[in-house]
Amino acid sequence: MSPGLLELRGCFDGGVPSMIATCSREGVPNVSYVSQVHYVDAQHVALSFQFFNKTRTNMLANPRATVFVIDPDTLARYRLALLYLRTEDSGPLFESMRAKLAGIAAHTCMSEIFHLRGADLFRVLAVEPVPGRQRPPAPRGPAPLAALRPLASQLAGCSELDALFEVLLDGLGTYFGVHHAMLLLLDRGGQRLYTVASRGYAASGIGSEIPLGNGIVGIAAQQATPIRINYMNTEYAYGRTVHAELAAGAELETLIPLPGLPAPHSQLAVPIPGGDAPLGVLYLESPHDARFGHDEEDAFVALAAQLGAGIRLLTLNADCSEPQPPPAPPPIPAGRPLRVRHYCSNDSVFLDEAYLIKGVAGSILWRLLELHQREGRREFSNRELRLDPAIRLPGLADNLEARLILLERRLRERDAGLWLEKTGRGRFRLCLAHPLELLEMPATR
Amino acid sequence: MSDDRCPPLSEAVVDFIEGPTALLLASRGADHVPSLMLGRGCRVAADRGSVTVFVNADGAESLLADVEGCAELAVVFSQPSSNRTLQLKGSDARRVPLTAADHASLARKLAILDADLSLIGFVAPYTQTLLSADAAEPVALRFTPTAVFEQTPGPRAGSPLEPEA
Repeated sequence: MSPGLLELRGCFDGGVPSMIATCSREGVPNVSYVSQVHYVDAQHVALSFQFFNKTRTNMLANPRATVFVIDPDTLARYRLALLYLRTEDSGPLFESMRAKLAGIAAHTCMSEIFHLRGADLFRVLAVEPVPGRQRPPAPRGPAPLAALRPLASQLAGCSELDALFEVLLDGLGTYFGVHHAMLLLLDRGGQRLYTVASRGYAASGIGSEIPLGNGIVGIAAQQATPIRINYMNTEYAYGRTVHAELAAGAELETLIPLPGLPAPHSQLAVPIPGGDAPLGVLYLESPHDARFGHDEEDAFVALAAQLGAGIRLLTLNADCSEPQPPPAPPPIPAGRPLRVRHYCSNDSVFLDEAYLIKGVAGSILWRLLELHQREGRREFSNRELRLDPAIRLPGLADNLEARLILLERRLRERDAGLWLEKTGRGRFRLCLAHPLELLEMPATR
Repeated sequence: MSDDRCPPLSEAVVDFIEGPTALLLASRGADHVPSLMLGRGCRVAADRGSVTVFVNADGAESLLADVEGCAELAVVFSQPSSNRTLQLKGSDARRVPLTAADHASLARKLAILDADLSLIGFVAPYTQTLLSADAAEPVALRFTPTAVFEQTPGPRAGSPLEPEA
């Protein structure tokens, strides 16, 4: 029985070049290397179109082509009989192939000349194994499905959003051996993604931002498609793609640096599905080449689907706290006050002289501090914040809970004697180690 | 066919294709469906007017039948470490017996290709395995090159190689 295309996916990761034969209308064969054969689904592949050449001329005149692929691990060889259907020059397939090609180009020192013009889509008419010697497959890490099972069970047991994020990132290390990862959520109003949790970096980067459509993370979110790059490249380096001009235009968070490996050799960005648009992106990286294969991508796509459902469920349930009087908060110690400055123009907040956060999270904190100063309150609920017109949430769909997690973590990282503590589902307390001195800095023209 | 014949291959082209290059062979059926197979090596005639390429019969059934039917053959020669690639085409490909000199060139190709691949991290016996070089004796196909094309990846790929002055 002929193997299915699904069994050949290892051949499509760029480890060994693939080859294509075409034939002109006059019957002259042509043979050429092809930079990328991309697995689309069980019946289709797409080939990278980079140059107008003989292969292209032939393909447009005679849609039959034969492709030879080699599994880089076992050296198993296969021939694919193909029928050309169409070329796509935008959209998820194109962007996914463009990113992958950047990795292949860098790997083969071809960055200057490898630019994708289009994704040529073919129907696979037949898959034929080519007989010959093979070598035994190299030992791999944990089987993705075996790693997915315990982590999926743990995620299903989470009843709080922040626990969901922690269990996810811990589990990536424990079960998948992935030690560099970050979780970014989409700010629907501002067309940007903000980092809400991370693992494996000297600085967590919580609160850092990247514009939608920028870099591997921004493109994965914009196109709602997973993007996987197997080799180091500069084009899609996570932190280098946000140009100063763009950051200024989008009023982007630039004071908190993006986390990330300086030179990742493998990158995988998986959108977190959220109905109409992604909720965010799970980003994984590794200092080793070809760390994430098709099977890992499958597992992380399944994980992201569960994560998306979990985020939505726990966000809906975040206000379900039964009213119960919280225990009296401890008194605020006396001493030198912590000076908190709030700049109205962009909701940035400084603790003494040090920058903390801006935007929605800054607006939330300032509101809490104002209410505390004016009414002596220390206990708050998510629900009242969601309904508070003083907090400028970018849109109805914006995830207040995730903003609170981001704020809580930034405060904990700063360790300035001002933090938030959960007191129940959808409830939290403002904790203070010093008296406060609040300074409102009005917007100036 | 003499009108289609290009000048004898230059010494530089002969050195390149007989050097550490991987080979790909393509032909086509009567229905213009292309056939494709890895080659195991090549040898250029002393007068540089014809090229003999070697291919394992096992797995090349379609290609050999197509060559038998139309005599069309396209062969790509690519050096893995440099990506430099040339394509030769001919319209008179036919099966010829293997000679002792062919056997010697097969062994040499394997050694120099493995050495070149080792420069970019592929560990021997990669080539031996990939080309099933210990399999049955390969088939030899001889053709007269009618055109040589530059095929190194890049915008010039596909341009005819200018004959050397």
